[in-house]
Amino acid sequence: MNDVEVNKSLFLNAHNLSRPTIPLLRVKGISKRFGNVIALDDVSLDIYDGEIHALLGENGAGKTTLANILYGIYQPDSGYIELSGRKIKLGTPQDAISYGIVLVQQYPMLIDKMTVAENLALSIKDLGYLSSVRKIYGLIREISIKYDISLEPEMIVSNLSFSEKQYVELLRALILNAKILILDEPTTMLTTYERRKLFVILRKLIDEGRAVVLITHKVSEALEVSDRITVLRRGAVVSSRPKSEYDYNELVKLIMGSNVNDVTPVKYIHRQRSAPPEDVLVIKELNVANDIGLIAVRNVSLSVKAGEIVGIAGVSGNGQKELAEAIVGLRRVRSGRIVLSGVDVTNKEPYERIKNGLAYIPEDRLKYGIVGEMSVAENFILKNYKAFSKLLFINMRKVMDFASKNIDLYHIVTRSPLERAKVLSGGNIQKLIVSRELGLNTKVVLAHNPTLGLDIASAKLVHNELLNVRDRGAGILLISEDLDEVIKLSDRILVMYRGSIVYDVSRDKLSIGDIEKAMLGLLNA
Amino acid sequence: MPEVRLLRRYEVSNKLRIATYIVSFILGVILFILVEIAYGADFNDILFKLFIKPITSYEDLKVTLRYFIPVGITSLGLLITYRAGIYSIGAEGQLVLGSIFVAWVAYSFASLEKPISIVMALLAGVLGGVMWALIPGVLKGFLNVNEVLTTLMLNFVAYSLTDYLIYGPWRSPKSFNFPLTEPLNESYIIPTYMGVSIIGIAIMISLIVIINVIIKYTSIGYEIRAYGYNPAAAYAAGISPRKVALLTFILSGALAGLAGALQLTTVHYRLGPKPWSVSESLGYTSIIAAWLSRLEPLAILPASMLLAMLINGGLNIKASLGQPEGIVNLMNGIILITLVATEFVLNYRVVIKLR
Ligand SMILES: Nc1ncnc2c1ncn2[C@@H]1O[C@H](COP(=O)(O)OP(=O)(O)OP(=O)(O)O)[C@@H](O)[C@H]1O
Ligand SMILES: [Mg+2]
Repeated sequence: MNDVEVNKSLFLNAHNLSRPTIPLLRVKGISKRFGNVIALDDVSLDIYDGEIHALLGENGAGKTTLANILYGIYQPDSGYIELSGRKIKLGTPQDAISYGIVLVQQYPMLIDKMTVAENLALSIKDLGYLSSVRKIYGLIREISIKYDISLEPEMIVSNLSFSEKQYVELLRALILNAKILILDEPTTMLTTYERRKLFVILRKLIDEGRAVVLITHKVSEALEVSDRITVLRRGAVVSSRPKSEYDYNELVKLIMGSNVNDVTPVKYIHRQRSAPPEDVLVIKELNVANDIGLIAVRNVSLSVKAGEIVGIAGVSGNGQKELAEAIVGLRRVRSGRIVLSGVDVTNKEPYERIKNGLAYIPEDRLKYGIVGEMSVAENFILKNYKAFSKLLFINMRKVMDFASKNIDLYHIVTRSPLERAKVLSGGNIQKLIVSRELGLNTKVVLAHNPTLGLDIASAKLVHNELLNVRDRGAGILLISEDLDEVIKLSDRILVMYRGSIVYDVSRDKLSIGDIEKAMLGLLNA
Repeated sequence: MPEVRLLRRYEVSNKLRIATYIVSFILGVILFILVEIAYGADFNDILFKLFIKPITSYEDLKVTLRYFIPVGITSLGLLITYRAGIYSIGAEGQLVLGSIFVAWVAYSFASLEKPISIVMALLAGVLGGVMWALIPGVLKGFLNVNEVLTTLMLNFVAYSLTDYLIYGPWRSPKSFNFPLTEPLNESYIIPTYMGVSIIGIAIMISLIVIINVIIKYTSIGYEIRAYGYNPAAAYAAGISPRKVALLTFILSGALAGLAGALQLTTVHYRLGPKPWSVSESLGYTSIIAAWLSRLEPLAILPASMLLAMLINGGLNIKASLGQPEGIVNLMNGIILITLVATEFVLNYRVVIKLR
């Protein structure tokens, strides 16, 4: 049977309600190590067409590594992969694509300065060398409309929000006509509403006879949308069964193993202050443009007091990125003022802001949060390397001690503090950044999607740390697309829509319904 | 028709890295030898002249070491800018300015005695190099002007400046109308030991050690590395791009200028026109040496030694076969190209499918 026939028969199978005996994709005994870290240990699982298969696991469990192997990015040390009963070799992503396997990566890999269509054109082989990218505009629009994805081919990627970039990757998979779609933590950036929308798309995809592998660390999500769940723990499969055979608590136990008691319960205590505290961050009538010069932040004024968490909720792409970058000094403002602890830092360099006690947990971690080529230890001191040096010399022993302490405290999984930071798993990179930023002597914290991609235990750890620095008297501006998180942590909640603050409420007067309406622009402020 | 595909590599082992690297260097040398054979040279003779003679015959070894010093010092400076992700190709001009400054000091303070005269000369060279490097440094740091263009253009300005001086105000009346300056006073000449500049080698080795320490163990080096690897994250962390640009340009200019000073005070003793100028295009050769070292300061030693051997060998071949001046540049160019190609082989796998 040649490939075409295989594919045809797959589609026929899809409409056949009984379970096909041969899985579409069979993973058998796959192991992968990096030095002495065993990322995958004898992993076997079956993926069927017409099913959403959830891959659940903690940070560093090996989920991304498995996805990378299925997509031909890494080669397994042992084990094999079968497609419809035939062994296949996945040497490169091109091989995987030719078998209909496409990965939507945890961090979108797009070229920022190009348009959506130009990025997509890069993956289309038979476009020809000299043809115009416009040729695929029609195709992009057609697929976008079919699956209800709101992207236009001419949009410049750097202006897209994180979740929109993820949709570009999804669009790419659809253009490549993937039979098996692997999505690596696609929902971390999405609001409840957006997540539901994504799940509708995924269901549509499996109804067409495709298979979807959904990587996530959220138990609720796996239970909500999948048909089959495989749990990975420290690189090994601990369970792989149809969803109906699990319940929530069992899944939590399976994911965490003996660590299940490690989860620190977070006491979301909100403080009532008697004396009026001073403002540590004041923003006045701020206007900020995006990369193509359009106003993305409109007349935003807000203030954060010492010992207070102000949360900004909102659907991504409503100016949060530009607001955050302006506050940290990565983007110039058109007009307005930014005052940190009484010092006007408008359009000053990031250095001036750090000096005045600003810590930053960035949304784009790989770009702004770490220097991937440097060691984990060196990344721990990125903000205060000067404190570790005397007469210009960096005290490496002190740095190593500091790094080891933080690695233990935050349970960061790494081969050694000397490992390059970029090979850490997504969640571990975030833990590194959070521990570094909150460890400083900070007066103001700007946290942008701080628990994005973290497992339950780590997310709670981060929440605890944020509450701790608040209790130590820091003011926190929390910009998050996770509404639950904003509601749990904030003393005051703002909603950003189309660049403006459209809603502002203290936590005792809060109405979730109004917030959700405001996020969608349905509330007339 | 066979189908050729380029596949991106995701994992590169160190073994592969080193192997491709050595192979590419050998390939470059072979390509050069092929050109020479086309010229009528004998294969064994070429190999001998390139790799054996430059380090076995004493006369040749002297010449090899003479190139070793300026190439080592200059490439060490370039390495610093490359570590910061700043692609300066201006060492040539900075080296020339260094030599002009030394000449100025030597002619203006002719009566100074050793060792003050020598110290003054070396400091003047450093100052000249730094001044010339500050132009692209300031433009890059404050206005974000592309350093490749500015540094390249300034090299030509530096050549013209030399020409102006040697054809104009500094031309020696005793040079039979040749565009040469007066030779330096004895007090400005650094002594050599049996034809080898021990002082120059000592300076180079100590500089390599110092720069190695600065890059790896100091906060300045930390800033340079962080900025070079990820400018956005470094900026967000409060590292000033201005400081990095100025600092790396100052350091690399200082080293190139120092090399210029040593060239004038130990080798040439006077300024002259191309191709007998003080720089001998070593500012360009140093670019290759810096990349050959893979931006590892300690590897500057073998890398610049290898290039010094090749320059000397190339000159020998040129002389014995009566070839044009450009032959050494040709060799340098070929080796640089094969080295750059290595990067490509490391990042992509070429798959050829016959069908
Ligand atoms: N290229 C690499 N070199 C060294 N170690 C690696 C490499 N890639 C992954 N690892 C290690 O393998 C382990 C599994 O990583 P992986 O990225 O697969 O985790 P994950 O389940 O996707 O976690 P997360 O939810 O945090 O993204 C981690 O300990 C990680 O540090
Ligand atoms: Mg991952």
